[in-house]
Amino acid sequence: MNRKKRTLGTVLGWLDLPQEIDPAVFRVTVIGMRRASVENHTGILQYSETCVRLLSADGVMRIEGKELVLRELASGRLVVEGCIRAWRMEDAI
Amino acid sequence: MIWQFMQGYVILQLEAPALERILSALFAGGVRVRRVRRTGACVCELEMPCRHVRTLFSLRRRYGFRMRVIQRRGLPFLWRKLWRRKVLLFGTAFVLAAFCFLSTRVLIMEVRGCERMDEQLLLDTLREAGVQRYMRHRGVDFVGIANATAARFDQIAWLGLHCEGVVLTVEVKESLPMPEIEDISVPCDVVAAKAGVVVSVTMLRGKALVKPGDRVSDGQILIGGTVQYKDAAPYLTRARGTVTAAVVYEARVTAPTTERELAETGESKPFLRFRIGRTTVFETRCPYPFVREEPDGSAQLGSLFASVVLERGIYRELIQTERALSTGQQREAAVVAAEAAATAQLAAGADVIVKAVWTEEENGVIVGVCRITTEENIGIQREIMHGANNGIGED
Repeated sequence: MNRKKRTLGTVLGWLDLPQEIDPAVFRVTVIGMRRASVENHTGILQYSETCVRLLSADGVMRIEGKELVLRELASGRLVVEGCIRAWRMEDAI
Repeated sequence: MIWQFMQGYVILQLEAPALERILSALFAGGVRVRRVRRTGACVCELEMPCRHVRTLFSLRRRYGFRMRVIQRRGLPFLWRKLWRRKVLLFGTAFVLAAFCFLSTRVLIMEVRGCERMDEQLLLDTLREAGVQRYMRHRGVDFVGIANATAARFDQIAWLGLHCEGVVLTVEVKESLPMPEIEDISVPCDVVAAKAGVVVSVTMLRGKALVKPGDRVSDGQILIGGTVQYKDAAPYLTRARGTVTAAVVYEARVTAPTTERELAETGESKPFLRFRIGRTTVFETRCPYPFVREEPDGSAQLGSLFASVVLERGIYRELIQTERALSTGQQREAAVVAAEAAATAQLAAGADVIVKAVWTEEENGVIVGVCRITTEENIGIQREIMHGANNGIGED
């Protein structure tokens, strides 16, 4: 799987195409400080009012804030609403 | 959100030590969950479509959590609650049917651009063609009706009928009046219509016979239609031009010594009037030709659709009497009357330059005098009746 992904990424690079068109890539969109949309995650590790941790192919993502609500949880997409203070990849180098 | 409402959804409370595992399982199972909110250490609330609740039951066996339905929302649940209320359903159906029916009809007609054309005549003509309020607007050939109606009136250059929703707009473009065509083959002079002092002369055709500063009398030729160029034989033409002159208008009015006024005779009669809206349903007959109404009280009986009012009062009989005016009042009345009389003589488009108003005494009678000086075009065309038409042409 990882090899397939790497190959697709390499092909996209050769063709000078943006990486976003890869439908399986992990993608985070933060709109202001109230809404974050996460696509292509693989599951929820932790959810509380102050912290949401999500598992993805690239590692564990952490969203911190206050009064966090999972606005939408559908196939491959999760929308977090609330007062978002920070987000980061936990095991990123 | 609307689709979710149409499908129906439930608000659930889940209680489990590891809620994240259940959420991940729902996510993996393709269940669409909304508004997940943590309400306690091991408790959360979420919204879920009705059709996915069965999936949750199968998960409950595996993960062993507690589940409680807090609320059921959406159209299926609303329908289940309301379907027994027959009157409400009937009312809703009636309103929807009325809405659907009325939306196929023309409820408002607006006419735009009707200035010289009689609007009522146009509406009557359209009514004859079948275009009126409450008509069905689907399938009507508005273009054909508009063209046929426009062809019936010379004043209309173009007529458009646009129906948007329930509003039918009748747009009228009126035709311009035909310009007056001057017959240049008929020779004429420009003569003075009034006496005055010439201020300016603008000659377009013919020969100017006056210059600024000249005093002219009524009927005097200002621009001649007989033109002679050097030693050539004179010829006749249609003189044309504008001669602006200062014209004086004067009005003298004798002051009235008395004034008519209405005075009460002392006779009176009570009256009763019953009104619904603006329509008078009943009223006591008035026996006097001139009366003054003195209201004595009114009662509003109702105002559901229109105001229903009962009025009481007294008719006071009036009679015309003559009242003598003082000298000051006579002067004032004379001045006002003289000014009105002088203003009535002014030609349309005349510019007022000077206006003077005063009173005089003539044989013991007060006379109001108003003198207005204007600047206006005094030239009018008059045909040349004498002589033969020798070589008529244009200069």
